[in-house]
Amino acid sequence: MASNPQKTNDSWMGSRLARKEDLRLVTGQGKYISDIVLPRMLHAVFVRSDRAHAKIVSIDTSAALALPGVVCVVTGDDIVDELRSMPQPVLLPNLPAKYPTFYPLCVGKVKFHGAPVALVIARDKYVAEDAAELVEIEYEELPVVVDPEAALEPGAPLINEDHDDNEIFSMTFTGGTTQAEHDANDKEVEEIFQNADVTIKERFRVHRTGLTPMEPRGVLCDWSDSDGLTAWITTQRPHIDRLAIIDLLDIPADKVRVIAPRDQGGGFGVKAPFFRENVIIAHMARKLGQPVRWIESRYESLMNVGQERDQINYLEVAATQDGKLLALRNRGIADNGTGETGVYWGFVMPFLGAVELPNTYTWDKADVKLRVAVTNKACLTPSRAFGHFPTRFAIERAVDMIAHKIGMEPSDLRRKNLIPHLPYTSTTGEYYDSGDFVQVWDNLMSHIDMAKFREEQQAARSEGRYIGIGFGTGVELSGMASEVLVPMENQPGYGAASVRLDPRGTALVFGGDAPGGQGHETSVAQIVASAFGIEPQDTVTTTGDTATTPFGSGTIGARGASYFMSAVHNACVEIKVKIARILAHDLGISATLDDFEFVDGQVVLRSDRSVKKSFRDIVERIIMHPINMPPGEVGGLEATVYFEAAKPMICFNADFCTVEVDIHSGEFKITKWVSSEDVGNVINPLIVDGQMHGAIVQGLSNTMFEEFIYNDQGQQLTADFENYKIANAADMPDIEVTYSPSPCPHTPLGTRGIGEGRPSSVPGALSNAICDALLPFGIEITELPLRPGAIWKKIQESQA
Amino acid sequence: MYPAHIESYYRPTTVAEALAAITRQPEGDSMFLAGGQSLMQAIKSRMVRPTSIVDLQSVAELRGIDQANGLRIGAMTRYVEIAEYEQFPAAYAALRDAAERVGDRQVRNRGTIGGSVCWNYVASCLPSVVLALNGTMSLASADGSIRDVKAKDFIIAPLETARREDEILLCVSWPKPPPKTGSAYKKWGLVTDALPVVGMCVSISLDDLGKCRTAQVAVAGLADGAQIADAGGAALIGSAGDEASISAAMNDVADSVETHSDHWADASYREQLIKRLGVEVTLRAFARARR
Repeated sequence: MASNPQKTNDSWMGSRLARKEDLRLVTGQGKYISDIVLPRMLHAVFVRSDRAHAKIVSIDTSAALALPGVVCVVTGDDIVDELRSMPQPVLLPNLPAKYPTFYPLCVGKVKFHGAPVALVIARDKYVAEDAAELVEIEYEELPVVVDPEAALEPGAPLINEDHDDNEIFSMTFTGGTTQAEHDANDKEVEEIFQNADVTIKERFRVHRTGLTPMEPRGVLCDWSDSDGLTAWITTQRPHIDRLAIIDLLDIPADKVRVIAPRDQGGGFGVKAPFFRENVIIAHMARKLGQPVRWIESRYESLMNVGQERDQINYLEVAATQDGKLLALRNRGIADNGTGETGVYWGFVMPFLGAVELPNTYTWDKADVKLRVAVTNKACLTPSRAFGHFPTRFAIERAVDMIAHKIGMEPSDLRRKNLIPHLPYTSTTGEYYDSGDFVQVWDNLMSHIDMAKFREEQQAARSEGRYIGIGFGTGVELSGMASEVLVPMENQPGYGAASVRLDPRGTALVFGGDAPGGQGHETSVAQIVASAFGIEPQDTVTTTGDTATTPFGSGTIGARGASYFMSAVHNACVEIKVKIARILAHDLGISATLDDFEFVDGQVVLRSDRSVKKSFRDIVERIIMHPINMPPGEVGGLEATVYFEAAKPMICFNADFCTVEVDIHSGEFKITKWVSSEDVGNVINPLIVDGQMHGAIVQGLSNTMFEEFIYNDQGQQLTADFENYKIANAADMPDIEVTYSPSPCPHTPLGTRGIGEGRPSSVPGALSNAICDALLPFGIEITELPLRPGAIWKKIQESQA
Repeated sequence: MYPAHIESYYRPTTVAEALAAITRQPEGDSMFLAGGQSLMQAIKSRMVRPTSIVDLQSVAELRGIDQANGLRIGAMTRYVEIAEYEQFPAAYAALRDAAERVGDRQVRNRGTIGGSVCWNYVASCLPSVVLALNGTMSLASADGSIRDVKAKDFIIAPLETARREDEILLCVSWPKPPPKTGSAYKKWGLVTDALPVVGMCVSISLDDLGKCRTAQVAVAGLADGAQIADAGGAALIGSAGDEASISAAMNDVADSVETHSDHWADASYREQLIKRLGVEVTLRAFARARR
């Protein structure tokens, strides 16, 4: 790749290297789950509920079974005695909740439109689809609950009947652990509100929306009595899926291997849960002794996964007349859907959203409570900006509403209340390890002349044009330390990597996470090349195969550059220490790693650069010719390293955008979008730019276009791309990403994991810009999505 | 997204072969396939279940734009060909406005004008354009006969046209344009490739004084599909192309059609879009007519 920039300072770190994986991906050479075809493979199709809440009276499979080519048709009743129900401990967070008991196929009743009722397995996909149509299900309607507030009312129809109400989870996030402590805290907060110069109180509603990976889900399972189960699953966490399958199907641990295909068309959190479909496909492959494959259709995907946000926040903020934020009080109500999804159960996202409510601002006190309601909708699945899209929209809007009330520039109010020094523990107890929020903010503000903008705004208004500027900030988890991930998801947070050198001087890296397009192969290669002084093309990375990789909790929560890459680097260092030891012995000198430099394919003695050995030769010598070794030393060059940071880590960003609103149609145009990012030391700026562009576009798309809609009867009306609208490139503004990085002190390379939570500062910034433009009309946006029709209506109402 | 069983697929190269192929099949079970940008989705979702498909892609005589005698656009002419055709007279310029914004690039490279008007989807651009421009649809039957149907008689209701299932739409045609005539079309959708939430097509002919002599307004995106708004056409007559009179006419259009609410726009916003787009499009049609 001649056009690639070269390494700088003998390091590939920070090099804008074109991604190693892209050539195969853009030339049709990618190998996705649908490309894996096994001999004798059967095809599975789910028969899904067309009701939102109904008792299953009977299922007649006879016509389907009679169709030539159909192997079997399975219902919930057929499998209840053959496998264990969920939840199993490996899929349970350490959070007290009313977890529903459920099976891969509905038993007794259906709880949402799209729930799997039966499974047809046939010799080809066409026959399976034909047979699925012939399965006759008789239902008896049950009352449907689609409103989370109604679901929490006493006497509301019960959805998960193994519990006595629809509240799957509730929590108080501030002020201690006992009721008395909560009461005391709430009283103090109330006192602040009573005495505050200015307060606002608003109901903020964010709709149901989320992420839609280009490749939907898929599962392919193969069973042999000798080797057990091999399961290819589109997943972000193959190692967790493996443990879940072991427990649910009661298969010996040495007989289950899960492989996340190297190429996956995006995850974005949607492929992070453990799904019921995995279990039944694995079970049937074992039972039939034949490979079984299920590939999700787009329709199924939009019916079942990628649905998140969906939350009401009754938020109050108290402040002083000169713009000091004092306290916040929030009553969150989240719409969980059924809760039938392993690992997250829906409510783990709103849980984190509530934790992250204080965002980047200092507060004297907070009173944050959350209730999560089960409804007759698909279970929430994680979607990039895990849980905090709705709460961040609310807090960023509330900050502007305070600013409007006291007549202060929203940007000045933000600057005044930004957390001034890190580390810092937020009012909800979240630890912010390092960085400089103020420096990132000031970098952002260096890209806009506020005084000039206000002049232009005034001039435009006199011409009947309405332009505005809006700000948003965001703090994100940069990977999750075990001390966060164990309580939250019952999983370790460490990153793990094996690095193995080949006798020919190239490197093989194995990681237990499972990327879906993030560019891990390139970032890893840059780290390894920098460590060993070799070329990026000399590293091959294997991810996602539980048989060959060390345990990893998955490609989730911006763990890449924080945890996994740190483990890769540390493994390289461990190998280098050994190389240095043996090389010093061979040279007959007394030297350690610090005395050598690994550069340009050579290992060079720093004190006398004429003393050097080719990297390949020393590697081959240690692996292939382990004689005349230092005392006690054996051959081979391989290291597996687990990396746990000393502290949970974060990254941080601030955005502004400018808009022009047409008051006659409510349409708006985003005229500028600028971000300022603290991403730590960057491995590959091209990849980081891409993360930011993608995240901001996804945030805009969620804010402006995408919405999952259920009608009163729980019918999902948006299960195709004609009705679930995703942003096109043509609808997106130019995005100017700027950096103000500070190295992370807790990772060996100063890197931070980035990109996961990034979309969530977008809805606030955009809404704030529109409200700023429409300030003469006194419009405060409190609901998403931001549709021109709704904005136009608000303008009409303000003029009435 | 796997279609129900399809017995046979034909790819004729002439209209006569295509008509023969369709009549060989039991009625209702066989369908013509044009660009496939709507029909293939309907087939794959099993909304329609043809047992036989007669694919018109290789019928060369159905393609092309010809102005030898008025304007004739072959039914299998693709959107991209209309969008890139630079010789439309001002009278028929709305065709290009519509074609260049249908769907996305892939759709425009495959989709056809004939497919669009014969499918007549509830929210689509071309049916409203052929209505406002008063196009003539020529339909051929296996017995060799050809009948001409005016657009207003052809477009009946969403997914319903005057075409019989054994007829092929040969072309949409127009006479040589009257002088001082202009047309324009614009749609509104939430995203660039969206179907029209509202689409407005206006055709205007001016008299020697530059006042509107005849006008026709069609609206796309209504619950009843594309339709002519007679009130708008009538109200524009006599207009000098000033914004006040056009705006009044578009208010009449908004009042005269039944707007509905869906998740893209409620009824009152649809009315507002009709007014806003209507004024913009009519101004453009006037400007084109004056050239």
